[in-house]
Amino acid sequence: MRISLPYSRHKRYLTGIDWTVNAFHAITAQATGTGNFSQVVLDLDGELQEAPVRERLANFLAGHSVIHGRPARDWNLCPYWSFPAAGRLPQPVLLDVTRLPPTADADEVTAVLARAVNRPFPSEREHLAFHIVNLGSCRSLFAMTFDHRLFDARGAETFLGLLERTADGRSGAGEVHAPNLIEPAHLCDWQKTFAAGKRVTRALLPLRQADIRTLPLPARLSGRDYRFELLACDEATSRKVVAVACREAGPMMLMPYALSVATEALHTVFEGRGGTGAEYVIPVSLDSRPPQSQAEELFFNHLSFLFIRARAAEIADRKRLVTSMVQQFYDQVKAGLPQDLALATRLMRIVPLALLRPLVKLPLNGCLGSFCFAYVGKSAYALPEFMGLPVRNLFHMPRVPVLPGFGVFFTQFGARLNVTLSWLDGIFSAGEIRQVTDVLKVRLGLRAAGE
Amino acid sequence: MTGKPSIADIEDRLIREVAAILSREPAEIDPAKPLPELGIDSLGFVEMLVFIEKAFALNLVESGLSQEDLRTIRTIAQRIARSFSAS
Repeated sequence: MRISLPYSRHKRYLTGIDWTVNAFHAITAQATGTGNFSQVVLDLDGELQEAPVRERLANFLAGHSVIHGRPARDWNLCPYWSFPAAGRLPQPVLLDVTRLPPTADADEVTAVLARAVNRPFPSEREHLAFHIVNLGSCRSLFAMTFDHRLFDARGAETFLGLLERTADGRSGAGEVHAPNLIEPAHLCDWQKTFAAGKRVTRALLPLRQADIRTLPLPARLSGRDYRFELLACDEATSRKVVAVACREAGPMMLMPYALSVATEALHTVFEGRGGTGAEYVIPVSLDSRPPQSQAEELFFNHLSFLFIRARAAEIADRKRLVTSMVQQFYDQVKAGLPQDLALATRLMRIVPLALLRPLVKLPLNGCLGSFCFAYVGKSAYALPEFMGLPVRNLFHMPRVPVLPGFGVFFTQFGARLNVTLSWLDGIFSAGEIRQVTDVLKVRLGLRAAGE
Repeated sequence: MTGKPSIADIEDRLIREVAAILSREPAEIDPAKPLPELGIDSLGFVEMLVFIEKAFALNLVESGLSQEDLRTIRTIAQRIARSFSAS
């Protein structure tokens, strides 16, 4: 048995948010057999060759033993990520290649990528898998499936950027820093942590008393795989969306605007299904690391959450909806909720995952929200190429923890806006997905109203 | 706050705040650069608005702003200064 010292180089204490993400992983694994995985996909011009990709991955991954870790609990009860010393990496690179005809449509491509993200890893020390999808010689996709316990969406993008920079010799000193793996246990500052806990409880109490709108689900939800609908705006369309967001929500308020669009789109399905509850409560994940430290804060989760509410009866009034969302965003940031939540969740690390699974759903009466939403913002992968091929686009495919088991995710690659709708198989019918995407397409200018 | 701060004072305080939000040195922050180009996103922007409310007792969310007002740190400083002149 290996003994890890408190500041061993082979352990990293988990933050409260990391432990919460571990709970999401356990919840998703219990419900679907596969954990809280996500996938970042690069859409490339040209055919990606397997051999050089495999070689580059093997060299790069060998330098990051943290990717072969697993959660453990310390003598002081603080959970940590235990990972092997470099050089003791038994796992081969998980890389597969799929060939599709150049004529394959978006649905076929999405189905292949969905199969990739829905596949469990072969062992508890595996958290990354890579996939090449070649569509003839003109187009290919490179996907990295990742375990959210290892990193968040922004971290995954940065990791791919690091892979590209390191391998082509562009990672000059000072350009790419060593990822920060040192995280103290944060077992001091109890007063500060408890005070944050008190403020969070006070902030979440109205949510517990709210009549939360949830989607009535089929009696037996047997789906284990997630399905995805990807909407990509070109640069001109994205610029128009940003202009509309500016007009409706105010300058720099793309996030609340995107949330209002997602709420309006999903509202059609809630209405059609006779959704219960008067008010949507939407957990909105935020990237809490400053842009400058993205490379250093590459691994693990640097997130926090806002909880935005929207009265179902007022969804049709867009002006009111958007104004209310902007105001809540402002009020919660002003109150310091994201920072308090990150602090307060430290207290939950003592709780075993089996107990934490139901506990994280307690504030919102048994679910994690009416639906999940994230606006990842500008991609941390800002390089024009990957393995010598021009990058056309980048998007994400997250498996959303249950319940709710579905969500809408906005990302931005350069000047392009992308939207991913993700849902556990069986939650929506094909007709309902059409309804949701119709509203999204109209709001994103991909289709005229009534078309 | 005693007296009305000058545009230069306001700009200086905003530069220091944006530097803190972005974890950068104030010297690296160009006040004439558009906010998205500095790396400010929706969250960073709201953090800046919250700072303005706390530091200058001015709620810019409620005061009907144009995109031009909020384009750069410099235009924001000018907007804040105008609010002081009007009051």
